[in-house]
Amino acid sequence: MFLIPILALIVGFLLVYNLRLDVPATYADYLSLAILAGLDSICGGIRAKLEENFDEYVFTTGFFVNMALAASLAYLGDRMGVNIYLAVVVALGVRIFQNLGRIRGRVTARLLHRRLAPSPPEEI
Amino acid sequence: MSLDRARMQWLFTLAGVCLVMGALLAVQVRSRSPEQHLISTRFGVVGGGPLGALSQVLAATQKKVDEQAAEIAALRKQITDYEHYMAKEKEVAKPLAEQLASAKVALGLVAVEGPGILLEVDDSPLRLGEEPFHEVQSAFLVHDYDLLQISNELWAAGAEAVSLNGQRLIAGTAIRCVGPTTQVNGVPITAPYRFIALGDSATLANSLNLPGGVLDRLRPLKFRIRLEEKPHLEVPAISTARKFQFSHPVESSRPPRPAS
Repeated sequence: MFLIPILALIVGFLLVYNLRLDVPATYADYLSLAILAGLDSICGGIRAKLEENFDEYVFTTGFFVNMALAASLAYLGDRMGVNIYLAVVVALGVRIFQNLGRIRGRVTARLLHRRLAPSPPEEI
Repeated sequence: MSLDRARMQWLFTLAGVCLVMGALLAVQVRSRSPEQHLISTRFGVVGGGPLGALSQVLAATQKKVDEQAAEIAALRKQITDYEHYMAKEKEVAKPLAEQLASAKVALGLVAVEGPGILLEVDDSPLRLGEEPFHEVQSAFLVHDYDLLQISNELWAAGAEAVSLNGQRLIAGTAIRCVGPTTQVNGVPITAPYRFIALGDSATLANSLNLPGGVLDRLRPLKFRIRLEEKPHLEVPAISTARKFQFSHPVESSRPPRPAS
């Protein structure tokens, strides 16, 4: 069951990889930022699910809007001659690590909990 | 079941998002594949693109160009034959034919031979440090402006016909840097650069060797330079003649006024 998103990731990757799409090198930087933002959104979504405040609409809109924002912010920075690119990378990097840390905390807590108490408490 | 589906719902949302994510990753990985990156940095190609297809187009076009060059040569020979024939036919046409012949030499339409110099210039073997210093290494490469200076010097020294790597230099010839090659008459050439200039060989050689002159500036940087005076050299004809599309001769043309 939990393999579904991972399978989707692989399918999406292979599908486009074999399509032989090429992105001009000028946009590759913005695309990498968008990917970073998307990764952050996915991590945030998983964390939200584990913390029981997951909302599909927030998640999906957040995914696409964050990607667009990250890329356009970097583009704006390039136009202005300010390296906002780095700021976006640092901010997103920190957020991804924070999200991953919280996911890890939740998962380990659950596993430990399950091991300690065979019947887990009812979750909403 | 419905409860199960409700619980699974978020996984499918996640899966949809992951599909998009995978697609984006694939695009990024493709555009960052090492060989493509190398090629695009080497040739300054933005985005690389389908290089294989492009090289095929290039090869096909090159073939076409070669065929057309052969055709031009054949047609030009035909014209020359006609002119000879005409000159023989009528004694009146003789001065005209002579004038035409010298105009054709000036335009580079015919190959010419005579005494002159042969100059070979190649990149310096010197290098500063390791590869990453591209900007610094460029000081040890022969550039388009070096070639321009040399050709300028040759004309100034009274060269009557000059060729560079088999390309005849004429009044409309541009020497310019295009990526890793230099283009002369639109034809890409690479180092070593080989000038053949017809004229008074001693004058030509001396003017190139002037203190503070073009070669004098290249020699300290260990550029490989070979300069020879030769009694017999040949300069080829230009491969494609210039077409005059925009300019037309003035009907009542007066001789230019002498500069006061």
